[in-house]
Amino acid sequence: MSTADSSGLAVEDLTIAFQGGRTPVVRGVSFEIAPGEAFGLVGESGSGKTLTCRSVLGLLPPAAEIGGSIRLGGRSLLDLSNREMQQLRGSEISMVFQDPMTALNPVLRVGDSVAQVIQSHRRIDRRAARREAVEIMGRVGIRDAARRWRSYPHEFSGGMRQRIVIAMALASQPTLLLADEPTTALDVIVQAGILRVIDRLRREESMSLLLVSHDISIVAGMCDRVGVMYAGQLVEIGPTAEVLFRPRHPYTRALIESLPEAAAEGLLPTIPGSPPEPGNFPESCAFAPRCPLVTAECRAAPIPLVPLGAGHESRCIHIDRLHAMHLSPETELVAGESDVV
Amino acid sequence: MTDYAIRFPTSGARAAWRFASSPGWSRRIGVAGVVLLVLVALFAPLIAPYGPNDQDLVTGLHGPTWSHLFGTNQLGEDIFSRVVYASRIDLQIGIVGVTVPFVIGTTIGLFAGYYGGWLDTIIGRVIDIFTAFPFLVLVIAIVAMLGPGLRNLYIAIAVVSWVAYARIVRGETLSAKRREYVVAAHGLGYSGLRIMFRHVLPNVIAPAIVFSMSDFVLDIVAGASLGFFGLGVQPPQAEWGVMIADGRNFITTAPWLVVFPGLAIVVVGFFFSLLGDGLADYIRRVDR
Repeated sequence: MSTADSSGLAVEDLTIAFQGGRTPVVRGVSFEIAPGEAFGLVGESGSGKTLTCRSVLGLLPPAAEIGGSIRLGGRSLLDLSNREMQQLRGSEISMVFQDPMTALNPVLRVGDSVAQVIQSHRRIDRRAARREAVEIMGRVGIRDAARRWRSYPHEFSGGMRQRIVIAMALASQPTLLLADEPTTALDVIVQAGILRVIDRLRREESMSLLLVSHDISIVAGMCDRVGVMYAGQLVEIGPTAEVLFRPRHPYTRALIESLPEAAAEGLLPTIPGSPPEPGNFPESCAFAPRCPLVTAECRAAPIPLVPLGAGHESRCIHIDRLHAMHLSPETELVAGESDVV
Repeated sequence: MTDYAIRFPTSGARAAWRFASSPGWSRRIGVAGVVLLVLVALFAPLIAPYGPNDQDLVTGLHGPTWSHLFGTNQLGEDIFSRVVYASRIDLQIGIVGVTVPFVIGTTIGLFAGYYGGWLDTIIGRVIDIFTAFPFLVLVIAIVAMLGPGLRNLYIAIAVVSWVAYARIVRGETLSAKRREYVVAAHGLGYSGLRIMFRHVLPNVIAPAIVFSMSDFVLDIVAGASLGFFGLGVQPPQAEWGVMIADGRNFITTAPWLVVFPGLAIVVVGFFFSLLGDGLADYIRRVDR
């Protein structure tokens, strides 16, 4: 691990398991986010990216067992008391949730939802909090916020609601913003607007951002560095441009190649098979069963993350053969399986 | 921290008006009827031509006439006036009998559902124990233990019927606390109390309010029953149950003594049921 700036976020060897450790879902994840840096976590559903994200805020389900360390600004978050964690949430760390349809309290006026965040972390009277809320709502792109703060969530569209959720997350001027699939529930057109707002405000406030998404193209446009998760592990991590244009893991490469934008004419390349279920993660390379480059060595022992320079690391021992990797639609047809990435 | 005041979606008056003016005849009749009953209770002295205990032994046990619309009892007291005055006591029984258990039960249910664990286990067992007894049996048992009277009736109702509210709110809270906005509230660093009372409560209270309408009727019937048994309101005070009890000896010769107070109970039950049904419909529709 490189030495992190002490004011950033440092996740080290994070493990999350259920059922008394019998079902590990996150296995030894380490990454750092420097102040003002945007870091993306990419992976399929079930790869552990959302749990990793939520663990930073201490929002894991009660049954989850967590190991490793999460440090923010030199404090170990896993050692904080409930009260200390509560003070941290919403003030230093905020989160934008996936589905704005469910993340807003249906009986609160949207303006009050935002004002409450301000009020809960500062001594400020209601009127002033509301004024500030309206101002923040304007900044996240809600037109005519001075009038519309009185609306209820059901009177807003999905995109507008997500802007409110973002306004709530930003209301307390956090140093770290977590965004868990912030646009998955939204239309593509709305999506772009929301991403722009997050990106602009992050830069303006010089916040750190942890962006979780299954869509590598979203992360590509937003993040300085990116980590690719598979079966609870980081399989590749590095600067976004590096990982995107010179992927050093077969899974990352397959992910990128199966993007509709990247595909040549004809059938879309797919990755055969499906990812392993939590509880069935192999000790060895988890991607081996689906990997075109697999050898006996891959299935023999755990594969470590190998540093490749410039902060780029990959959990693959066949990097030298990667250029020969061929992922074609035919692979899928032959395998006779269909799977969605 | 700021206030933990329970706040409802809109100002209460506006929400009430929106409900009352929404379409549906049964709902309008329910609202109008309940408003009428409340007005009758409030302005009883203006409506009743006689005092509830004005005796006139000469005109005793007369059937309905123009001067005594519902007739008179053996003491010559005007039944119409007594029925009107009794509405004050009976509605009060309903209101107190609903409000106190509502507040207690909702709070307990909220804590049980939200915190879960051993707290929920204990409260759940207590709820089971109370639910095992029929409502009225338990109320009568408690009043019999404490002694007759209105105050003890209120205590008995509170002790028994908080359970229903606790059960309803607990169940709703169990599902509400898993919703994303509650997780989000948690993620925003709100305290447990704040999340419970400002984020969960307004979203779980509706079924309890609907239930309170039928509970209202139940309480009035309980109050009347205890009055009938001589355990609740004490004669000569006018209360529908007491009036029925008074008149039962004359049921064959002067049926108006029991018919009119009985009708009053039926009318209250009818209007409040309509209101409750309408409320349930309305909430279900607004929820969508």
